[in-house]
Amino acid sequence: MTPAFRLQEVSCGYAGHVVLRQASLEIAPGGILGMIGPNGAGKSTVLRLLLGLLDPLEGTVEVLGRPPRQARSGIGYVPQSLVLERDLPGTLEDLVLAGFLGLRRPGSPPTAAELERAHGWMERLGVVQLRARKLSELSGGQLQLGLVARALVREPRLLLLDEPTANADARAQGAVFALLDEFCRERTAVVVSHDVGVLARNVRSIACVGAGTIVHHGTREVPQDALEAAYGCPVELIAHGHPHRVLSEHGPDCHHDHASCGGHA
Amino acid sequence: MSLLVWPLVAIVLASIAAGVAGTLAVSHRMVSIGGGLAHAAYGGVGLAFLLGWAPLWVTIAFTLVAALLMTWLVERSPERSDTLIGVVWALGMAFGILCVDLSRTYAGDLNAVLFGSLLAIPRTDLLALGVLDVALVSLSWIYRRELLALAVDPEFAEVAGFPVRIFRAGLLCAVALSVVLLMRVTGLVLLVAFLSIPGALAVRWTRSLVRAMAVATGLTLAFGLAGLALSWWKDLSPGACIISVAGATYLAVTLARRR
Repeated sequence: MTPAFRLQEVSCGYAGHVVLRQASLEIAPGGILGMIGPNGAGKSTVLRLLLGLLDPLEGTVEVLGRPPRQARSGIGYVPQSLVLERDLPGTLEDLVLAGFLGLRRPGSPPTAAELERAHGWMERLGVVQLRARKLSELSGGQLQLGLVARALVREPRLLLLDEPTANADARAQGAVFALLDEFCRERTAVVVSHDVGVLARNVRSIACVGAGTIVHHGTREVPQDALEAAYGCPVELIAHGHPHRVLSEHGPDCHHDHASCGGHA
Repeated sequence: MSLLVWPLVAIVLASIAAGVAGTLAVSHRMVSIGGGLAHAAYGGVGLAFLLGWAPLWVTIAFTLVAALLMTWLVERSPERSDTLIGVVWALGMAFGILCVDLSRTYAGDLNAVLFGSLLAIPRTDLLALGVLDVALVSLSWIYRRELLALAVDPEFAEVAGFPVRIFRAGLLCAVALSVVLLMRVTGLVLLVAFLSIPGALAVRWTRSLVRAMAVATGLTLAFGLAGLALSWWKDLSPGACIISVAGATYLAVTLARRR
């Protein structure tokens, strides 16, 4: 069976700074993969490799059995909402309909079936009543749900999500993961997040990105030592409403830059 | 009265081009590129002056080459884009001045480039401006969804397999053509104001790109007429009056929004 994607001994980076060194990862189709690691470890870099926005310095990347750029029609992408230009004359419906870019001829209007599909995903994500609202009038969480809808209208075989619930409340988080769970029975999703607690409840397996490598754990449970190796400092589980891992107190001999890992694991 | 007809036609045609191209420039963060091209275009005017050729066509060709050079440099050079725009901006102007120096003739006509020549604009320029208006309005209407999607999230557009580079190059050429043709009516200084202020106000007030273009066209026309009235009433420079009216409106709206 063709894997959803395969990284084989990949090294990559930016302007002389190497982020991944001979990292390998192969994911079979179906289910949700969670990807965790501190800031700057290379989580978003892995997404950029899979999207064909970054070429590896060494090694090979295959997505749906093809080079990433050739597989783009089968990929859906949910970026962080911060990347958007919000102060423009466009509505949530315009944003979601942009999901059909590259799938239809430029200049042709959306078909009735495409409109129905876009409204259907917006409804399932609970934002259909906001469709005529201007992007600048939406909250961060509402915009994030719009981005998820934009990716889903493409009905991709591989869905890549970068912090999809970062600005969402618990209800919206639940809605997104319930939808992903259903969507990924025959498809694959990769969710990058800092929140191990949310991922542990919702994904099939977890990959830790850190120190230039990727370690794939076949289950949603990540051993404590693997988590600490990825983050480079002690991590412990606390509970305030739901299980949640945080960086714990540790001595002056620790030289890890915690500003870079965001505090939460 | 008949003397006023052609300047009014020129103002209306220029308002349409400025409203559409300005909205595109603002929404695609191309205002500084437009300003850079407007100054680089001076090189084309100087070259036409030196060669004794028709300024319109030489300037169009020169500005399109400058636009493509700017895109190529911005995409391939590690230098920051605003630095590269500044370099092309300065080089174009210097080249124009050197051409005029080398021609060793009177450069009075070049004042029209800096300040516009509303009363003496050739009919061929008006015809070209009319053709540009029709092309800008039609293409912006046909590709309105793609233009918005590209402005909101260019990275997603690229990942989705949309031909982002071709579209951006086309957009830049449209801005470059607008710059050249508007410069003949408004002059270089007023052009930068027309490319930025009406479009910036219109994208705030509207919910669709096409409506923003219509509002920006109306604002350009209103600023132009109000500035001309002020100029006539107080016997002041028309270009400076138009920019003052547009700039004061922009500042008032921006300050009111912050409260």
